[in-house]
Amino acid sequence: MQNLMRRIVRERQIWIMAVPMIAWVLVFSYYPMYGMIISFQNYVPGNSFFSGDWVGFAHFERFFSSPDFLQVMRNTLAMSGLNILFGLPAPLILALLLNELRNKTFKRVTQTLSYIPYFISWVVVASILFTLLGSDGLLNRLLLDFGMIKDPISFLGEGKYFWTIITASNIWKDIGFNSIIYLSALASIDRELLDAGKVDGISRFGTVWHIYLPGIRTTIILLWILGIGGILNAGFEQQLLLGSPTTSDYSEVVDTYVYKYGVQLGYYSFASAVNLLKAVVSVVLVLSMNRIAKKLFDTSIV
Amino acid sequence: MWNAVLAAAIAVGVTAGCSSGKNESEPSASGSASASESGSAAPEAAANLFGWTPPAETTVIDFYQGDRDNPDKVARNTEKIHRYILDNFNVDLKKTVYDVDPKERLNLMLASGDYPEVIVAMDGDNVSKWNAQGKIFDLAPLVDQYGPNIKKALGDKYKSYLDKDGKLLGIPRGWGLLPITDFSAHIRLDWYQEMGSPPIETPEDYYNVLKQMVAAHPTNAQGEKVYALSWNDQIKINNVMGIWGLKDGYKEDANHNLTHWVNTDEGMEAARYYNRFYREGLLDPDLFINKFDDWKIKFTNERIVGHIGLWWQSWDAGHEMWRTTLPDYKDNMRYVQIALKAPGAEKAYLSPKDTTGWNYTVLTDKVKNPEAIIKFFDFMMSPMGTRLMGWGVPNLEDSGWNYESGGVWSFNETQKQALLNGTFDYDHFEQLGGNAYWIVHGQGLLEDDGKSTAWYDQNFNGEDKWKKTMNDNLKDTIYDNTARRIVFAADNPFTLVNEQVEDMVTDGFAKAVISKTEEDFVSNFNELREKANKLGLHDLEKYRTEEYKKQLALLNE
Repeated sequence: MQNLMRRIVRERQIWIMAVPMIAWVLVFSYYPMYGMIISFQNYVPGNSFFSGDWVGFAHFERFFSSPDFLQVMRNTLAMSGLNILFGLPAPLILALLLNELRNKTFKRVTQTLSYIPYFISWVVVASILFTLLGSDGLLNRLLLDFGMIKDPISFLGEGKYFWTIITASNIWKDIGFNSIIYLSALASIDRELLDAGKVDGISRFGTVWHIYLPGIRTTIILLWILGIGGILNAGFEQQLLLGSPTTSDYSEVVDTYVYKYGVQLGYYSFASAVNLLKAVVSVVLVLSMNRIAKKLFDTSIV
Repeated sequence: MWNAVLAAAIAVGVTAGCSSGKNESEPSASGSASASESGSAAPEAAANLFGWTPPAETTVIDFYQGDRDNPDKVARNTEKIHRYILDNFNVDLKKTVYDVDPKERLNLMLASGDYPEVIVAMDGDNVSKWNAQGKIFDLAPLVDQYGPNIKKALGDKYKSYLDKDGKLLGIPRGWGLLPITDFSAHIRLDWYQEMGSPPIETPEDYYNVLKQMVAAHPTNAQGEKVYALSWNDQIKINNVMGIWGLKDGYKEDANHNLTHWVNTDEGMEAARYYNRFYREGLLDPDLFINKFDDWKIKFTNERIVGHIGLWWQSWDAGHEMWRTTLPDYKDNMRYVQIALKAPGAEKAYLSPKDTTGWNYTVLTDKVKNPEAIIKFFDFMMSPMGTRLMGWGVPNLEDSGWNYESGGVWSFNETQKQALLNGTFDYDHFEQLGGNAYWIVHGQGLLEDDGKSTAWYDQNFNGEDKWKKTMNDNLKDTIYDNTARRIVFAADNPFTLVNEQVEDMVTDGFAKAVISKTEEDFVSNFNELREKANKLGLHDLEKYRTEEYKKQLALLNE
């Protein structure tokens, strides 16, 4: 305790600067967590959080036994899995490609253009997708004009295309912005290593494989651990905006399910239970991945 | 030391920066832009033109209306009527709407405790839920004291709105029977006449005519593909089932036992009917993605030759648009509404009528001056009050009606003729505020003359050639559905089952309709049936049957 106090006094400037952020996290992230107790009650909106009847794990059991459970989990894991599989390496590849560009003006313009989709809201993205992929959309017109199809394909009306559309649009939207962290990691690599590589006659691919990737390994692992931790966060707005009755078998994920039962139908306790379950699974996954990463690569975030 | 001071200054700066965001209010369509200061004192007034004595102090009725609507449009359409009511009644109506699902909004209001003193358009389920939390103000004593018109208008049925403790939790809106049709099949008249107007009585006839129409007009003027039918988010599956003789989605036997359409052969046939259009490329592939506006664009662009839906939809998207945009517009370029009845069906039950009303207006526990509010509600439920609220501001050049005093009123002949000859400007008329404040008035025929209704354009149905055609064609398709109303209270175990089943049925119907083969269709439909029954549809049918029989007994007393 004395050591801790001494340390705080020694680092007081940093602690004082951190006070607003700590207060922010306490007030907005930790304080509201007491509301999760409604997961174990039959909470009635409008009443106090402590006034509901205690029902134990009844809401969790109902979710597990619901016919929606397997479908919601399948969709969530599938879309998240695709996002990790393709969405995690995509910005890394873009960052490596940008890093190889020699023309600085071209590099800056390309980099800036790649960020733009990140700042476009999902509402606008959904409109763009409806325009592109609708039955009268650009893609169908091209396919019809080239004689590749006889009738338009309802890309947004058939469930089998849904996961691909979500994954592709996620990558398109986030690839530029997510490459920033890799670009900054690449920039921090010791130039002497690159010079040494040149002296040894290493190729550009060799530079990437032997110098860049090992150099940013910690960053890659960090993002991978966070990505796995968020595997039950498959998205929300995109599914809500692009989903329809004909794609619901493929579009319902944990977050839209929680929204439907909590906000739309008013079953707050049930929705809270599902969300709490999601949070617990996410924490367990982050800690497990952290442990694995520490064992395999001697790198971890905790 | 200085470092610590500097760090503290940065910390304070960061905190200040974080909290400097402007606290913008949420979008609303409050009429407050043109309202006077609420609660401001005004001199004691004498009775106004309508014989109603305005209060000395402005009565502010601050309400949220639980209908999904565009706040900007609502603000535009309430501006004139708001000013008129404020000037003549000293009542400040502050209406708030949101372009979001009202169920969602009401749940958030209830959970957060942030709700106004009056809520309009609350459904029975929510009234029950809010009442269980003690959030609803009992109106019965006030109606007894200040609501003679309310009691008179509801008549013998007034008692049916009281709960078991004799409390009046909400005043209905849109109550009463208006014997006009709502739902039907539609056919494009000029193209139908081109075909020699073959008789259409059954779904099969309709299918054949639509198929021939699409063959004759495969693309529109822009070269875009034309479809026989489409769908939009306002079409209800239960209404479609009426063509196959089901009442509001349920088959009723002689003993009033109810079976959901999913568990009937008729339901399967109805879904198969749409699937046939789909498999033959006659159905808009985006049918279940279309919002009403998407559908309207396709319809206006002459890409959909038929329609099974609400009567006004093909007017709104068809000739109402064409007559202002097409240079060679002719009077028969329009849709007419027709009744279809499947072979074997006893009748086509297309327009269910619930005389109880659509939903309720409630006063919450936050109400400050309930007496003043009820007094104005009482005026609104009087025949003249209903006319004012239904037809909008009177006595202007473009008003739909004129009012002198002492109950003397007349229709504006210019506007009436515009309606009859098809040149009526609905958009402009809406800005006079007709039904912009539909708070408590009914939609049935008014008791003072037995023929007026709050829907301005429905007052001339007998004189309007096209409305008359529609009503004549569909006159046998209207039925009283009042006894089928069920309140799914929050503590009712069937509430969740009902919501889950309805959700599943909406999705399952869509999947069955877009099945690529007959085998797929049968498999998808059976899967829907199986899943819905597993969720508890059979128990729900039993519950609905019991409630229906109870209601029938009560209504027949």
